[in-house]
Amino acid sequence: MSSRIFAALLRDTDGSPATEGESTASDDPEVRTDGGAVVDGADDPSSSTDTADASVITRLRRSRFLESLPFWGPPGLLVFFFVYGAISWNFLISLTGWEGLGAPDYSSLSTAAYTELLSDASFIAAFRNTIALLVVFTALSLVVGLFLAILVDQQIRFENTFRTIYLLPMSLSFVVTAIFWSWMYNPRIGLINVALRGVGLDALTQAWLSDPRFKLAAIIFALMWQFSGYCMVVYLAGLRAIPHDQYEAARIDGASTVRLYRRVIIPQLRASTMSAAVVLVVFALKAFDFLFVLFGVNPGSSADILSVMMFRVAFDRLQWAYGSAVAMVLFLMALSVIGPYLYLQYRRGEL
Amino acid sequence: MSADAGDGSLLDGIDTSRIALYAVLLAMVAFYLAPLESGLTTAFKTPDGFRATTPFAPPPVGEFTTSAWGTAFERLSAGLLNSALMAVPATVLSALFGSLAAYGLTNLRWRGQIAVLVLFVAGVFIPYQAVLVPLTQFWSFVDLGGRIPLAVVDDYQGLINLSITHVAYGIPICTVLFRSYYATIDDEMLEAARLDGASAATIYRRIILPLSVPIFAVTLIYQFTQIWNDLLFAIVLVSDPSNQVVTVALNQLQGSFVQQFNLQMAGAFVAALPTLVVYVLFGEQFAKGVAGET
Repeated sequence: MSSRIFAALLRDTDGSPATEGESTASDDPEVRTDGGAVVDGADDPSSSTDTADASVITRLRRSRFLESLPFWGPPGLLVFFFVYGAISWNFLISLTGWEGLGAPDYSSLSTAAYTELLSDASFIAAFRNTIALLVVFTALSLVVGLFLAILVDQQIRFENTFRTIYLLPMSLSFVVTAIFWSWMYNPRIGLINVALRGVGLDALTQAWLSDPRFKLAAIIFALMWQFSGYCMVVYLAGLRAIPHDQYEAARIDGASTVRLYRRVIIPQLRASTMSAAVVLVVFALKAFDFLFVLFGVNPGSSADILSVMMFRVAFDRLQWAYGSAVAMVLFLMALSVIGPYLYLQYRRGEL
Repeated sequence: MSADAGDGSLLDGIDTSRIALYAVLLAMVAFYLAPLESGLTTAFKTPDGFRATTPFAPPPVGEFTTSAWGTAFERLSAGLLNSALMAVPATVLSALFGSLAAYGLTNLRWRGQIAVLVLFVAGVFIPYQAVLVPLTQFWSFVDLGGRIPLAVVDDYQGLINLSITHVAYGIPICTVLFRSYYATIDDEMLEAARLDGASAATIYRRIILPLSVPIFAVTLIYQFTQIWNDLLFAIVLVSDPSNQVVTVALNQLQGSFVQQFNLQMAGAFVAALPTLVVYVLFGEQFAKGVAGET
């Protein structure tokens, strides 16, 4: 039983056809079950032809490398330059103390920007808000997405239509959704307050986007609206990968629906939860567009987050080095999430 | 008679739980569509209309107007065109590069490719803030318009820079999407072609590309939506107003017509229209692209 659950956990979470590469696993260097920590070491012992002539194999492999180079080389160069080169350059800039309209001076480098960050009240506020945003937004979107996925998975009619509608916000630009939500949150004639008044809850009406107490919550709610459909899609793929007989078995045992999901189904969705959570957390770190459209560069200390602060410091105040330092903090936060995630994916042979 | 009653109550029992299920499903539909619906009705109202009526109510007689749509379209048409000029080539190129990279890192096996692959995959998750300052430095240093004496390059410098930037940052996700698909392609078939003397390029052109049509659809649709919807790169990289893309133009429209909600809503729909059309036509592919990000 436990091995079956493990197999279910190993399954791919996306919905593309026949994603399980198990049939080709025997000669697949990256699907290793020995948990090989060495990235490129250890010849595959399973293929007996390897023993015939090691030098031929080496040459063959080298030629495969050369043969493949024209395909991944040019895009790899672009990625290497634009992603890794740019991040290194950003780090260098953060050490220069560069400000204003001139050019950066790379001759004298110091970590002054980083020590300044630690005593900057606005950085600390933005850091705190970022953490609050990513925790609450991620948890909320996952819960709503799981709820939707379970609903949609009940062999309903018009399943495609329901799914399409729930995922629709995900296809919209944040500029568009921010405009919709600023109208929804309009204190006088926005739908939310109008609806609250309509059901006699006048006391709950708020100036959602200007009251410092509710700003961040209002943003989180709107972002949840936009991203929960994504979580639904991920969970739905996870649910569909669970063998049907597990439902049957639980039914025969007389388990109620709630119990079936709590005890049998949801525990098997760990892989889905993890990959969706990583995407949501990383998004929450770089969320910028939505807040920028609503508040410009100054969301106020109750809703300021690091990504907006970075933009404000660099592109509004022209404190380039300081902005780059904020960006490095964001990068390290993202790295602390994706590093373990990618390592785990690699260990599971899912990369 | 009693049997009939028994059947009836049994059906009733099934029906109430199913009815409750559909009621919840419909309530969620209302939740996801409410912002769009209240935006759509507002876009057809006069200012008096949207001030006097509830946001979700249809425009009352005499307060119906399409003038907001006309103004919004006029304001955004240049941005729409610029967005299309920028997004279409960037989408096609990033998908093509993604396909090539995925082939080289999946179907052509060699030692150490997993290390290269990790660098590609990690690129999906990079916070763009970490590259913004170097990007502006880089593009002002490259100065395509100053180096290439072509009127087109000079006129569209901002859009070209933006397009290339989107290609570069789109490659990681495109590679991931193509890779998960290419991993399912039968190795023996490729090996047989190789034994017949086909080169890697021939195998790509004759076998891989024809098989890639569905995943190209997924990737193109996903990437187009992503690139069209972006605001951050556009505000940082495009300074020339004549090169403004539609998200930036919409943000300005929103900022300059603060209380004119009908105009703001119409503008939001006009700017979103291309992605909405793509989504309605190819929702399935979009969902696959979204799910493939994990």
